[in-house]
Amino acid sequence: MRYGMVIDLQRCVGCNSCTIACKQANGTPPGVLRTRVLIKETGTYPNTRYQYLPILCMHCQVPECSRVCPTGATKVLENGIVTIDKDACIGCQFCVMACPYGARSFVEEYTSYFPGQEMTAYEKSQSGRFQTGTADKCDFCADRVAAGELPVCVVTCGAHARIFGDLDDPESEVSKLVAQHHGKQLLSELGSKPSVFYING
Amino acid sequence: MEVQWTLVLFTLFTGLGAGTFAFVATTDLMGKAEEIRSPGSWMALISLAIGGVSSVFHLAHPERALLVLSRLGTNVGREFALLALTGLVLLLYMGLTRRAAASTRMTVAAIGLLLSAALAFTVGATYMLPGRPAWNTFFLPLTYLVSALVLGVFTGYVLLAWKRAGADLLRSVGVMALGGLVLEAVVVGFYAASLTTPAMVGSVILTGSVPLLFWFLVVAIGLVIPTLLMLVRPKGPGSKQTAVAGIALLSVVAGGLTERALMFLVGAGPTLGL
Amino acid sequence: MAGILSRKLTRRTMFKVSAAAAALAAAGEALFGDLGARMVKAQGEAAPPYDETVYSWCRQCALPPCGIKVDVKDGVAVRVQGNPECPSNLGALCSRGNATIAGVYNPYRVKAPLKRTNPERGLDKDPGWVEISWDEAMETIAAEMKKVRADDPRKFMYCLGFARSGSMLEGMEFCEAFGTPNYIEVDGPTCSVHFGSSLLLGNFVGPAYDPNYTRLLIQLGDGSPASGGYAPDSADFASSISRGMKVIVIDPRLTTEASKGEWVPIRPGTDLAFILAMQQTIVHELKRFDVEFLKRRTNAPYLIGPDDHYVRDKASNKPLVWDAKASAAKTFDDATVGDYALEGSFAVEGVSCEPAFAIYKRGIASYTPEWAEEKTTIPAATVRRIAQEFVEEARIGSTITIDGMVMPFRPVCLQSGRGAVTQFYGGNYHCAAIMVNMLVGGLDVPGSGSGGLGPQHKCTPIPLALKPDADGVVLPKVEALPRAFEWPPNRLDGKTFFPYSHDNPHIVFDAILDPKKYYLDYTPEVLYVWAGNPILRVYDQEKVLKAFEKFRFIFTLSYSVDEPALLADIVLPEAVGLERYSGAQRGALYETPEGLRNAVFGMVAQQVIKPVYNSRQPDDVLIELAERIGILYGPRGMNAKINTGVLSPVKLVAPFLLDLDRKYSAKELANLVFKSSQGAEADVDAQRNVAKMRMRLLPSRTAYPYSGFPMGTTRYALYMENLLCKGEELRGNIRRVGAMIPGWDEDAFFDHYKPVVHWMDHPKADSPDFDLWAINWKTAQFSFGLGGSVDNPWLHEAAQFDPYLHLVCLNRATGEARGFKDGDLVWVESEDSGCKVQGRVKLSEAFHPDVVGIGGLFGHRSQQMNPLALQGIHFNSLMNTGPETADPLGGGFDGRHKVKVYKVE
Ligand SMILES: Nc1nc2c(c(=O)[nH]1)N[C@H]1C(S)=C(S)[C@@H](COP(=O)(O)OP(=O)(O)OC[C@H]3O[C@@H](n4cnc5c(=O)[nH]c(N)nc54)[C@H](O)[C@@H]3O)O[C@H]1N2
Ligand SMILES: Nc1nc2c(c(=O)[nH]1)N[C@H]1C(S)=C(S)[C@@H](COP(=O)(O)OP(=O)(O)OC[C@H]3O[C@@H](n4cnc5c(=O)[nH]c(N)nc54)[C@H](O)[C@@H]3O)O[C@H]1N2
Ligand code: SF4
Ligand code: SF4
Ligand code: SF4
Ligand code: SF4
Ligand code: SF4
Ligand SMILES: [Mo]
Repeated sequence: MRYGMVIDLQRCVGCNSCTIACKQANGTPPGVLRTRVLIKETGTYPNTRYQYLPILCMHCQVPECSRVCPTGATKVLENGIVTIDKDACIGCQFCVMACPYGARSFVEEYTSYFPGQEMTAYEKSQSGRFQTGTADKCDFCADRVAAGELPVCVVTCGAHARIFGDLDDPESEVSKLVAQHHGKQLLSELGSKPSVFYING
Repeated sequence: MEVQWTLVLFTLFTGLGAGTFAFVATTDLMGKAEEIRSPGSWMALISLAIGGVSSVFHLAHPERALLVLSRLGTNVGREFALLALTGLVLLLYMGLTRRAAASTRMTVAAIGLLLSAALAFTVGATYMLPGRPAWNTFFLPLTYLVSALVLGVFTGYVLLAWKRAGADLLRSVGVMALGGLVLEAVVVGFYAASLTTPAMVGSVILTGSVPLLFWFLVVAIGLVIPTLLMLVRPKGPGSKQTAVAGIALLSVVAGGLTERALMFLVGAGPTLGL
Repeated sequence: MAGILSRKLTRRTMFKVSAAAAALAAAGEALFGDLGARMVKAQGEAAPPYDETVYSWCRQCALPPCGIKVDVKDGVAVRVQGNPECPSNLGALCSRGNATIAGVYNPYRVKAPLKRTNPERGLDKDPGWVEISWDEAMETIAAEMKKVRADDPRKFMYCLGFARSGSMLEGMEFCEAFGTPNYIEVDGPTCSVHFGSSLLLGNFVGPAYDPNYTRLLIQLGDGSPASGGYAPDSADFASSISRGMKVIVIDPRLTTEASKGEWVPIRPGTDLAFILAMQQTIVHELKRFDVEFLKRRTNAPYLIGPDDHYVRDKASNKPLVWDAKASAAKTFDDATVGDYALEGSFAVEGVSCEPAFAIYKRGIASYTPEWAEEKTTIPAATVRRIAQEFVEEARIGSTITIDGMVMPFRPVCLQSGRGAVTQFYGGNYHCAAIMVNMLVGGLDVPGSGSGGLGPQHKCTPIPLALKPDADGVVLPKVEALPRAFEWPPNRLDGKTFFPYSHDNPHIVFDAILDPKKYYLDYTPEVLYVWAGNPILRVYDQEKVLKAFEKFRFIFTLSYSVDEPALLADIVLPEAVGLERYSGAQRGALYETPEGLRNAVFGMVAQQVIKPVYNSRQPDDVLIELAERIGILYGPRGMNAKINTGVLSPVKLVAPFLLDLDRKYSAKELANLVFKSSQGAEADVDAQRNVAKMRMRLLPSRTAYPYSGFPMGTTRYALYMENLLCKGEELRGNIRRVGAMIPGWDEDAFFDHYKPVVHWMDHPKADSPDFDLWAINWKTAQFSFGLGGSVDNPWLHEAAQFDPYLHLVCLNRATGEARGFKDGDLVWVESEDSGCKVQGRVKLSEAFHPDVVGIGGLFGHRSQQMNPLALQGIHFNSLMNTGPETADPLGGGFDGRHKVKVYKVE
């Protein structure tokens, strides 16, 4: 079992809906985005194109983050999900520096989205979910996945640009897409073996 | 990325401590400069301690720091282990200076020298991360190593000047210092040249706030001024010698600090083009 | 939605997950106590369990199509997701929908009814708010309303905008009952995209492409399929691209859609030239068009006399056609016509005449691609290639069988958005653009564009029927319906002169400041603003502010203290989407086990959480106000107006009509709406925790208007004789009363009422100083201000990835030639309005060289809003402020905003 995601760059419209969906599902504080969609102009007029590039934790099979993690807080689960045990994280942030994909943030404190105002009822309800002073990143919505649901960013994406499944199962949609469309991994030259594949780029 | 000041202080002070210990050990091995053995060791110990404390300040959850013991093979674990080991050897060395036989002390000094060098190098090697192309080169830990040695030599020089050491000793230290500075200039140069993409090079020496820091603090203050000072310093001992030594040390500290801070400024992640 | 991907973990993966999870849990319990559990969710921050999951309706865009699923814990909405069972969005949500919660708990919302104590109004003056009770607020408002009604009900102006989204009552029913004609929507003039479709397709908007079958989509000035990021539209677009649909985008700016296809940059305000050149190429050069369609499904064969009107049969008054076989004139519906002549000169009872097509063909003869190139900057060869691709891909003559019905198959669509249509020639342009589709028979059939928002239109599930008028031509609907000439004018919005216009706040404020220009004998005194922002969305803010000064009493129902609220005497706090009941009928093509169906479902909004502040929902406020004023009950009261089904967005059917003498709550109203759509068993409360929607399933062919009106039953107008008639009638009336059209020369104005599409030169000469065109577009986060989106910090955070946010975008070469570099602070000064706005330069390869791009809808000035909302550039300051360049047909703004750009000294 190795969970993975395929991102179809032809389908992605760069709406950043996934970015906010993930934020609200996980209650992350300001500045902490577990996923985001980079938008870049390429080419010269009039042969210009946008490159939409959804980024999240790549759930590397050979993760830099866990290689450098001095406490073992970051580890790879049996299902391929790279997680952070917040109770074991000392907040050294080496994983943040080491992750080649910029997938990690450091949650210094849980602040409100409305500076100078009292925390909102929603924020109060979520703040308890966060251990401040620890690293944070996408966990492939491990809770949901354990309950048989798809990650939030997958479900919310109107364009169906994100497809989730088991890369070890050759019959799964993700495996087939990777095979058919020659899925690419970001920075594959680093040998980190991401479980996130990009197709139709 | 943003400058991580606690880490800058950590690497600066461990570098200073390791360099000083290395200098004390080297002169001991050469049978010279006995007068600074004790103050030098104390300086080294205090620096290593400040470095250690800085690293604790870097942690958001220092109460869990002992978990690091479970993974000593990691970059941070290695630093931690080497720092502890170097500190212990330094303490041992300090204990031995008074009572033990010279040969035992020399053996410990030799081990201390090696450990100091290893610590200074490792502190830099921690940042050799494939995910940070600007850091992922051997010139980075080399820079840390050479910078630590230079800091050590200059600390030794200050102590010697303060102890009114003889002109001969001062001259050999002066030569060591000049040699160290030249080496540092070379290593820093190679590091800058190793920045592979033009964007990275540009960000160091051409555009933004980085070039100012680089040319002014690293090159002018950290390298040129101490070099000039070493060339024009008075021959014999005296308060002038001490003043020159003091200023030179401050310059190399400023340079070392800036080098380390700059590392963070140029250390952007890779561009994620497909 | 054909060919969509699965939205659930497949059974295969699910089995593995649950097996793995079960094994882990078992092993965990045996060995490590709860450590096993921690391994599954090692991040140790599982979402808290919820008390309730409520299924409701999103309200974060203007015409919200999506169902939502909200988790509630301790009375707090802790998560909003798409309802996976809702046929329109199948669990998806756009960024605005996902940001709902940050809007609900925004501490800058209005928290209680507010009363002004400082009599001096001004954006920079503190109103000195005091909180009052709802009762006191409503009583004060009702007293003012009664007073003005007794004096002259026209003096009450009801101003609203798109933040009304998803409301059951919008105010037209209230205004009718009150007796004021001044129901003013502020949203209209920048999206007057309705005239052409209303006139030619009998539909509110369109044509829009068919996500199931379109193979070539040409878009002009249009960002709804993907750039706007609307969840269902993104789904359709991505599937269409994936299955191989080609997109050609004619736009001064690289859009998301263009980036997935071919971008053809165009100089702004010249789309009409491109469209005419397309027609010229198809008709004169390629000579490939759907002749059968023109003969049998359009008025192209109708005979036209020297007076430009149909030649009619004396006896039946029906338009005549020429039967080429019989060499005789026959009525258009004569079954014996052997062959309809499209060209030639004939004489019928002494009147010389020729088929409409011949006149049309001659009319467009000079619009060569070379002629157009000079205006549009699009190379002639490109126009020829696009025209060629269009006719080829149209597969003229092909058919498709859907649900057993054989229908023409034309997998091409040329569709237009507000960028292309909102121009001084907009009405004409829209008609001309529809005609390109008409030439290949691509209207309202599978693969082609359809009226409405296309077969996937999520708002009106069953396409408005194409009914023939007495002449056999599609009956104009909505905004192209004839409007009686009103003299002297009562309405502030100038619809006497612009009878087919959409909404005219721009005219209204001009009229308030200069009533004589519009032959008005009054100015309004009491203003209600709800859910729209006339100060931001119209044009030069100072001009609107001056008009605001004329009002004696202003009250608003507001989300935050925005500019209208800041100027109000009383501000009522509005309940947001999650705090409201509502109901509507929606539709979507929907994959069922039996195949694709057109699902018509009942959309219900629940009061998911109790109002966070002391706020009430708009429908309740309106009903309460109507009762207090005394206009709710009886045959002429608001209840009766609601029952008509045309004044409110909701339709009630017997036996669920309102009892005229009862006061309903919003919840009761929502229940009646739900029952009207889905039958007596449908119940709002029963639906609260149920994901599955109540729906009726129709055959999927019903999504195509053709299925209701196949070949031979109605004809589209290639020759707009009805428009000519309207113009002549209007001109006659204007002359009769001796009036002038405000801002317009009569001939230039009526040039827009000609039966054959044609080029029109801009009414204003070009000034060489103002050498660039400013353009604007909706962004994925900021397509509207509604739902508090501009106040929403989550949306701002996501918008940081928009490379153009809050910047003045210039084509790189243009910018460099003028010595600009990224980050330079510049003024953008408008020729038309005289206003200038400031911003930082962004040099880009994604803009036409003649263009200054400023995206989004910004420009808030109220210091009482979230400071985030004050960021950005007020594009609308650059727009024209007078009626002289408003579109004589659609009434919208002119989209030609000539500007100059220079550095801030
Ligand atoms: N620059 C620019 N201008 C445009 C457009 C554009 O794309 N760019 N688009 C045009 C088009 S197509 C349209 S339809 C119109 C839409 O324009 P409007 O009809 O004015 O609608 P919005 O801007 O969505 O929201 C109106 C205002 O209501 C307030 N508001 C926000 N949320 C709420 C709420 O929940 N309740 C209440 N009561 N008030 C709220 C805010 O002050 C907001 O500015 O704008 C037009 N103007
Ligand atoms: N789900 C959902 N869908 C909606 C809505 C909603 O609320 N929800 N809102 C609807 C509403 S109110 C509207 S008005 C529509 C608006 O949708 P669109 O009409 O698609 O409006 P914009 O997205 O602003 O796109 C305008 C485009 O025109 C371009 N443009 C500007 N000037 C010119 C020009 O002179 N020529 C050409 N060719 N292009 C030009 C701009 O660059 C931009 O790309 O969306 C509708 N769709
Ligand atoms: S939600 Fe989907 S389409 Fe939108 S940016 Fe994210 S991945 Fe792309
Ligand atoms: S993407 Fe970064 S955080 Fe995620 S597994 Fe790889 S290295 Fe670790
Ligand atoms: S911050 Fe936490 S997870 Fe990251 S490396 Fe340090 S201990 Fe490990
Ligand atoms: S998988 Fe879950 S946590 Fe990861 S980016 Fe998607 S929504 Fe966020
Ligand atoms: S398109 Fe977005 S804002 Fe509109 S209803 Fe759907 S989720 Fe809500
Ligand atoms: Mo609109």
